[in-house]
Amino acid sequence: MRRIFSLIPAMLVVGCGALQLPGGQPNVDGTVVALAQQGAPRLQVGILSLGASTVVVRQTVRENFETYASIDGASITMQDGMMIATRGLGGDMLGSDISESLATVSSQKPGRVTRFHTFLDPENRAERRAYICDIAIRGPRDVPFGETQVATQLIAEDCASQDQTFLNLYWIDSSGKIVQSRQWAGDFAGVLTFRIVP
Amino acid sequence: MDAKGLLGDRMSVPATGRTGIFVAALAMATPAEAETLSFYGTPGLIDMPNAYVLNDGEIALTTAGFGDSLRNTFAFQITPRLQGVFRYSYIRGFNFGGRDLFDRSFDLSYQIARETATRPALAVGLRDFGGTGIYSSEYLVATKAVTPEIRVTGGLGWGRLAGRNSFSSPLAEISDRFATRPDVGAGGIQTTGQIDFGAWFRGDIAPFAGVSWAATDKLTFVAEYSSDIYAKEESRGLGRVASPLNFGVQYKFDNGVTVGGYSLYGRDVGVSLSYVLNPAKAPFPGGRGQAPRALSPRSEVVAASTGSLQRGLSAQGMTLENLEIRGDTARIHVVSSRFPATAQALGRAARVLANRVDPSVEIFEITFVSFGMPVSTVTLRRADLEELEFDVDSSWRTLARAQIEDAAPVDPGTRISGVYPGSDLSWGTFFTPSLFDPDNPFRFETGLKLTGFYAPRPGLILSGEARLPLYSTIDESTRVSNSILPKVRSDAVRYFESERARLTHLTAEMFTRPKKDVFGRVTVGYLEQMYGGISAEVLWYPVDSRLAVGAEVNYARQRDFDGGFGFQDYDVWTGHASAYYDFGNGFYGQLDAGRYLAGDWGATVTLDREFNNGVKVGAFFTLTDVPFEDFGEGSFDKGIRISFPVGWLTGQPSQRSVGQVIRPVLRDGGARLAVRNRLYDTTRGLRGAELADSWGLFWR
Repeated sequence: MRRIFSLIPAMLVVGCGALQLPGGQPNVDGTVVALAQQGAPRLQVGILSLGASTVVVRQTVRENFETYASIDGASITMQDGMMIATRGLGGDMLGSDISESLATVSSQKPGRVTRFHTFLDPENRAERRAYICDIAIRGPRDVPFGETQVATQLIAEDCASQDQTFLNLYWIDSSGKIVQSRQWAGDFAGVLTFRIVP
Repeated sequence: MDAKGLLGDRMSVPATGRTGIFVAALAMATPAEAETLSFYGTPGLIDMPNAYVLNDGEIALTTAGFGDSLRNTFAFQITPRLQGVFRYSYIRGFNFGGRDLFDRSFDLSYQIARETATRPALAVGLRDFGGTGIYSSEYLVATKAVTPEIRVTGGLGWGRLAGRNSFSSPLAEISDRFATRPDVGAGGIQTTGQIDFGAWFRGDIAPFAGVSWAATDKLTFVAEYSSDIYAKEESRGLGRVASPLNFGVQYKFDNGVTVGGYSLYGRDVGVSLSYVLNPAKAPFPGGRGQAPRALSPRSEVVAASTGSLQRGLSAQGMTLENLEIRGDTARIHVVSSRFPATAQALGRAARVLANRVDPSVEIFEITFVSFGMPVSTVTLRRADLEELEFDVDSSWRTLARAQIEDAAPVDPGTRISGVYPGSDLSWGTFFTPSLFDPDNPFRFETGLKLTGFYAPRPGLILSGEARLPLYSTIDESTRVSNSILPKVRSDAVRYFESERARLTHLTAEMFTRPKKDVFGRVTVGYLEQMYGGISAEVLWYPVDSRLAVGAEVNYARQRDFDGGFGFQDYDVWTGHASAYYDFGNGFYGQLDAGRYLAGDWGATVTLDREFNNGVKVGAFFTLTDVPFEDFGEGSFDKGIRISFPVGWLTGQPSQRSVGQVIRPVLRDGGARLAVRNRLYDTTRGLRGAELADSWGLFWR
């Protein structure tokens, strides 16, 4: 054999493969399917960067934390309609302090607030980030809800830290509930969209 | 409606999505000194180095060839300024009789000064300081970006890099010993591998220079004036270089792979392929494994059966060995076999308990068990878990409130029935590479293996493995060991000769906790492929200590080449005193001093850099009382080791990793017994420092 065949080119191949998302086998969680069949509340979730969407089912409610699970094993936790945690999306949002955002958005008044998120970094450390956000009222919008339309107020929350910016949008119905939203889940997972499934 | 539809028709979305932010972050992370890699696989021009470095912790893999030479290089940025390199090169027809040369070389380089607005970056390098000396050279080099796109490099080279227009070194003014360079290869193969301290920066010097122009983010043009005249190659009849000028172009693809095409020395066409990866940046931060079940409200928790707890833990890759619920405290002992980071297993076990034990229980004591030894106990308050599950400071608050202690002796009365005796029998395939045989640098063996164990009680394990080789090229090796020492490792290849099934190990192991912070192991039987005997080890390792100290004594007898039950005549008492130290920032050192397999006395120094996600790159060397000339090729035992966790690549949690120890040559001096399950390796991941290092995974 004339060619050099050593560890190095082999590793090169492995290294390239690491850049692509390996196609994992979906691991279907039967308990989530059962919950959906029992009529547990559901959210339609879109992942903007993948152009994909799925439905998640509410699995646990503790205090005002609602955790929704997907059948392939990821979960998203909402606090009164705002996302505070993800598990299994990669670079997960471990925890949040969104109390100021929540109060201002709920009151449907413009204002400047601070929100905090902690993300899991690639070296398994929790990295806490703070964002200054401007909340603005965009005005009335009708959004589809099943067969009908729901009248909502669209509220925008424009956030920035030193090196990150994102825009969250909330459509709030007359009862003050967030029925549809677009929220940022961190650098890795990107922007997620949510809509309550009737 | 898909996600895009939801947003598309109702608003204009500013470009702040993932891509925009990601690109912005990348632009900030990339230093001004974007690396181009030379034919030697280190930051450089074409055949000449420059003064730049890789980002801290990065690994650069390069294959580059022109004319009669092909170089495969693994470069690792050990610290922000220090770089270590292993290279495996091939030169066609270099050896006597037109035989090809396969050569291993190590480099070190250090960036003395970083580039500033007014001052160039400055670096010094030692090339091939421990190999056969073909590439033996040193350099001092400066590089400056004169515009954001154009970088100019100038340097001075010694040794091989002082081939053209050389002049006498100013260092010779300081001392005569710098005036001439000793001929490093003069002792022939017997002296290769010695560190050539004596030759460094000696002899004449010569200038080299070059310029690179980044025409776009992806496309870079390079030109250089080389001071290397390939004198050694020319003297072996491989022709004369026609010109000192080299030109090239490199293109970097979006996936990070860079290819280059070059014109070298007015004579050859060259190509290069390189890839730089950052082990710290796992493709999936935190992995893509299943989410944990969130905590239910305490009021909804119903005390579950032991079986339900077992199932809950088993779904998280843990075996429940002991359970005791007394008063307000629940104590469990678990063996975790899925999550590579113990902190993640701990977080999962805590949530399983919180969702399944009686609401009156307030305290969880979770003990991790390894090979039957209770190693560490973490105490958590249930109310803290409930308070902190989604808290913005969940990680450090949980860590601050957790108590991590050495595990207390286990109460046998709390043992879960059915766990012991335990047993397993499984078969699989194996693949054993054999690298760097001078006749064929890559040989391998593959086949079927049968593995089994029986554990009658905690800490006592009878286990074995048999292998049936199906296809092997290792047994084609015709090299006969020329060692003048007892052939304790140099005829390792002979253990691959038999085509019949062979026993790789068959042992009884006993693991104990004789006292607080102390671990013990005794292994008896066929310890490894080449030796059988008895091995006893003790390790002192306080739970929150950076330092661990151990000792091991073995009696070993060499096994028959056929892998059967028989033994040969050679036997030896061997053993080491060992110190292990966690320097912090991911650096781990190990010192083993004692008697090696050939009866030689000495010490092994090992230094690893380990990323929290489990990627490990390390190097080691052993010096013993065997004289370099008796040791043979390589002069002393040394090598590097690389290990990647499988989960780093797949995103799925797994304790498996793929790795390789790369030794230039395996000889008989400084050889250690390969006993399985040494205590430091089996306990470190469960001790305090490791738990804390990956604590971000507790709530993942």
